[in-house]
Amino acid sequence: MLSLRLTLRALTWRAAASLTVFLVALIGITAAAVGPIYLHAVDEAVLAHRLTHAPQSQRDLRIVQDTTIGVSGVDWHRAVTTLARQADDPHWFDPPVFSENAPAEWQGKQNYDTDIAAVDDLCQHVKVVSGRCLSDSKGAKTVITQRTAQRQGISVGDELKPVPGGNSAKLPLQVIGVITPIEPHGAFWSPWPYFNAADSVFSNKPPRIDAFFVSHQFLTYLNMQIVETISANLRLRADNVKLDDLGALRARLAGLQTAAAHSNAVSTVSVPTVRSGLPSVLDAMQGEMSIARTLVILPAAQLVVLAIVLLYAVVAGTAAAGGHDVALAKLRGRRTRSVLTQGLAQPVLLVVIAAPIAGAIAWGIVRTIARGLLGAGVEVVFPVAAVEVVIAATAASVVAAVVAARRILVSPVGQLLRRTESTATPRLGLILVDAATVALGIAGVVELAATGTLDSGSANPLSAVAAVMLGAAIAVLVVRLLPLVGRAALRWTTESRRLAVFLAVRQIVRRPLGARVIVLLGVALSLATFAVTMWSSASYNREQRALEQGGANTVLMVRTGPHVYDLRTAVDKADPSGHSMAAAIVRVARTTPVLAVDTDRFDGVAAWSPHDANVGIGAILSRLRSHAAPSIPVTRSALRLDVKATSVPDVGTVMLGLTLTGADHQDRAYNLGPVHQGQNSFTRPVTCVLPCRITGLLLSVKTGAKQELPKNAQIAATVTASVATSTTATNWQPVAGFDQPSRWRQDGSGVVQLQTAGTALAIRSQPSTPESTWPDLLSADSPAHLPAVVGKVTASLYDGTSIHDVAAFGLDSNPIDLDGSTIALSLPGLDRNGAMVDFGAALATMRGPLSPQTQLAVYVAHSAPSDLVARLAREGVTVTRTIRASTLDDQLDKTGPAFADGLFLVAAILATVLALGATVLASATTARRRAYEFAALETAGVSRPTLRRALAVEQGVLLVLGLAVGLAAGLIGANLALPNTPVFANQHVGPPIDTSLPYGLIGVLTAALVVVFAVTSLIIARAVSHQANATRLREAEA
Amino acid sequence: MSGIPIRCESVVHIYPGNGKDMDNVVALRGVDLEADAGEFVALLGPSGSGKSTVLGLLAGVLRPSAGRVIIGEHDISRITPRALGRLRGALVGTVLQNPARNLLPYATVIENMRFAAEANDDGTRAEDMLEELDLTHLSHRVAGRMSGGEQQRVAIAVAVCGGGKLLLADEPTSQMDTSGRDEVVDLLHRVNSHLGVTVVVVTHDPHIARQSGRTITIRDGRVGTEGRHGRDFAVVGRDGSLQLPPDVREQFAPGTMLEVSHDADGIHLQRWDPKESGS
Repeated sequence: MLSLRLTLRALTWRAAASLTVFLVALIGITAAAVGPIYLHAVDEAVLAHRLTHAPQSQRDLRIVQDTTIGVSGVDWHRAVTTLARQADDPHWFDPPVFSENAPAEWQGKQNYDTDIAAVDDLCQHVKVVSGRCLSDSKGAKTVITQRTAQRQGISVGDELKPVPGGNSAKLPLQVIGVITPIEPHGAFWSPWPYFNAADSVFSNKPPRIDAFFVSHQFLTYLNMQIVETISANLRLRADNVKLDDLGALRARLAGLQTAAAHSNAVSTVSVPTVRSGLPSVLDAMQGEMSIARTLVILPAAQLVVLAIVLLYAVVAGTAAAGGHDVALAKLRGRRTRSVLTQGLAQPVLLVVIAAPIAGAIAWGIVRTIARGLLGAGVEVVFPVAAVEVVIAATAASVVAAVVAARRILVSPVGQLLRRTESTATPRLGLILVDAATVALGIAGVVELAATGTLDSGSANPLSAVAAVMLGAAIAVLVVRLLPLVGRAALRWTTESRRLAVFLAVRQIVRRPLGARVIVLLGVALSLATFAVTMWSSASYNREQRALEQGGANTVLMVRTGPHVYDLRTAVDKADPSGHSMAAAIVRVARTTPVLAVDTDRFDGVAAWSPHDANVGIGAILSRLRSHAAPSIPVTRSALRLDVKATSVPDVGTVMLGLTLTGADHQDRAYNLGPVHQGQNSFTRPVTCVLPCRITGLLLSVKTGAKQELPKNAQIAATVTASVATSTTATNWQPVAGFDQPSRWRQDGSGVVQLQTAGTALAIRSQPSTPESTWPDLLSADSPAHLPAVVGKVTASLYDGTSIHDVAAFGLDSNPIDLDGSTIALSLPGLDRNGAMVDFGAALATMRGPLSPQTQLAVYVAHSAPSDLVARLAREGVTVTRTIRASTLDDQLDKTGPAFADGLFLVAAILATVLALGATVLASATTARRRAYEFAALETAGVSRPTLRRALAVEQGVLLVLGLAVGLAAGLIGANLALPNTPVFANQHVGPPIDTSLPYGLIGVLTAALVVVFAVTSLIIARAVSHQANATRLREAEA
Repeated sequence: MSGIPIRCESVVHIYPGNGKDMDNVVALRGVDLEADAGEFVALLGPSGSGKSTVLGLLAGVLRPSAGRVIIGEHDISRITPRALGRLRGALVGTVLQNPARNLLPYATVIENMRFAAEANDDGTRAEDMLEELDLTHLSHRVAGRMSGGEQQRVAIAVAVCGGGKLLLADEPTSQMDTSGRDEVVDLLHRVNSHLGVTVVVVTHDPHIARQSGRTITIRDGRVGTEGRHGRDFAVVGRDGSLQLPPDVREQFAPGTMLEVSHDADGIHLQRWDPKESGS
């Protein structure tokens, strides 16, 4: 009891020292605990972000079975319902929603594809426009969408007779209601494509209309065999899924898939499948978590080590201060246990008290920073790993305290009473530690280089500590060399009149252990420099990635009005300053996406990194727009073609065809009729939207069933095109450029020779074989192969030759060929997969209206007019959606590497503060001894300002060397290893990583640190000199 | 309670140098010293003469480089550190020069007493000792908040309470005014006379020296003179050496040759001048 009471009294008596030990232990253990708590929160945030941002189709669990219903005695719903019941867990999933749909054809105004569908709770998710909703009756009743009703002129009471798949008989259904879906793109309806009415994209497929809805009861008792798909959709409750659930969730999915595979299939019923994108979402998420873990653990470990070193220094100092208690205990002959208690109880008690408080503070810190770094709503818990780390850090702190106090405990009582310290330093041990540190640093860099990681872009966790290892190695070398340099400077300082420098250099030479703060600072600052560089680079690269992902600073998805045929014209009028750009993106499933851009406005508007391609953007844009020839314009309402045929085959009839393409990009084909030997003239009204272009001319021979062309059959003719305001006009004007061979290009096999003949175009045409098709003439304003820049992923699908012939779809969804000989790593808005072409060239290839797969867009630079949306509206362009790079950047900031990157920086800054604190404490613990020396020097006549300057110079030299070592190692490490850190390496999306060092930011921070260090040096000098007075000398006697 | 005798036989003590810029320092060069149980001895001598070293050897905080140091029946130069610690706890009380350094500053007087007496006490000895030495009124004062004189008196009580048979005090009055000094000296004598404790005091204070029954002056690491009741005597060493008193020594330059003779009245030292002797 006495020991405990004395310990508690000692703690309060030496409140400042106790508080210091307590605070350092608190900081150390807090630093240790922050890592695992934050990591857990990061994992939860990544999980929540991934799950909430994954498309619903990936998150949900779907059980699907194809079957034929209408077979008596077969419960065709059983397998799906059994599996759905197995999967149903109210914690993870909403109750399953069952649906069954049978593909059908229906003859309305024309033949349509549709579905006969039944969905659970249909009536709760539709609004009845007329009639009533379905009941559970077995009757052949249906409800249809308002869109179908309006387009097809269907009313309540009408009877529809779709033909379901698997049966040729019609299935009569009476319309009892007209409905509109509530939130057709919402969570309930999105699993099923029941509202996908669309025109036909491909000529061999009929257009679709929305589904006809019937009741489950109707289908259950249907006495007619039809093919249908039964499905159950279980919507994931993303908010309920926590990290601890992942294993069980994966197991549940795997179990369901196994159960589905073992379901008994019968001849008309397929094996049900369990579909979910969740495993791949979780895999991607765990990849992110792994990166975060690597990054978080390293600085956290660094913090712990620093904190323990600091704790050791503090406890050693306070133990020295309390050494007299131990001396008295020994002098009084107290028992060993009692002496141990006297020496150890105080620091150990303080560390043990600090541990739970540190845990709570760590939790509070993570809660606070999580709001800023991870976003609101992230649940911060105290995971088991954090408890283990707190225990380990506490144990390490206690060991550090014991080791620090041991020196006092084992010292002879006489030595303790005389307050002398052993001058013997563990030289061999220190040399070994130093050698190991240097060897480790060199080995680390060699390892990185030897495994080919440096500059390879492959991730290696070692790269994240490269700077620290280098920092430690360089710092140790500097510390070892410093006394040698100091000795060399001794003579110079002796001859100098500067007494302060003289004293400072001697102190540095005398106390090599004091220079160890260089190692502490060097390591911490190398980590901080590396962290700042990494954070800055990562932040910049995320911005660039978001910019390229979006396409520009802002991308407006637009719809054009009825008379806006060229978006470029509207944008030019709306924004004459040129800070926005027309674009169009064509995405046809499983083909190369095509981005058409206004090449005149691309530079400065669209996102483009100089590292995207080997060629400058100017040359690329020039190439994209270089190949197109001018159009052959038709600007009047009547067109006449005068054909003078000089050579026609003896067999068959020569036919003349002409294609005009209107300003609305719609083709008008004119079959002008037979061409006879000699002069022919064809006059037609122009029916396309003016101004039109002549885009095709075909001279061919039509043969009868039993007629064969001779082998060398050819057509030779001169053709003149002229236009007038009407077919009866007399003032016909020649069509500009029609007679120029350069305006034409051949399409198809065979030989076409072109020549200008006065104002006419002389044509000599011959097929490759008598049986083959006659070659076309197409206008050269749309080249056969559109020059394109292709993304890296697209390019990887083609070899050196085929890259000139990339298959894609144009803005009208007609196939086009691209010459993708220029390759870029990433394209604005398309990432690495796709091709970029000139907008004008893409328009020239159009032979029909914009397809539904084409999305028009306006790319907007930061400097564009703020009222651009209104201006575009005035030009007939409506904005339907806005994509901002900043929003995408925010989303990228919510990914695991970004979270970890933030903590890496915070930890590095904390480590720097700790190292600086350790330096101050190291000075404070030597202050007592220094005070004796300074008192003696003052007694000998050295002025107090000189003493202060001497100490400031000494501290300043150490701090500046620490700073220099840290900066150098951090920058070298960043330069060497930054591309290989898990944040940057193995990135398969976005623009090329730019890891150039942020010298400006580093410079500012360095200047700030120099100021902090200067102030610290002065404070230390003042504090020590303040303690130096004559009474110290008397205390020193023993 | 009774004191114990002490004895130093040809004690040599060398403070080792650091092997670089500090040489070994020979503090004691063969000290022979003896005190009976219950005796009050003052060790005198100039600074650096070795008197504090003698005290450190007697307290067992230093080990002699050569010779024997015997406390009671224990030759402390030959026992283990652990046994030495136990011996200190059982027999020896030490009072250091700075009053504040003898006590745990954060503990009360009674706690300091108990802290010192832990090895021997059943809990009542501390209170008894305070009462015996008229210090009961200080028992619940915090040591660090007392005056120097109070601290030193408590330090003496603590020292006696812990060890009890031999009290070693190193300049116990060095930082005190007259009244404080008198109280401390008085207490030392009370400990000696009432409790029978053997007291060895290192001091520069002539007042203490005068009040001591016996003084021993250490010079240049040897016992120079011994005083009894105001008279100083040279002491013949175990090897027959004799240290001249300072005032006599001043008359003889180092290297001076003396002719030693003795008769019934005593020993006579006669300077021998080779020139005068005609050799």
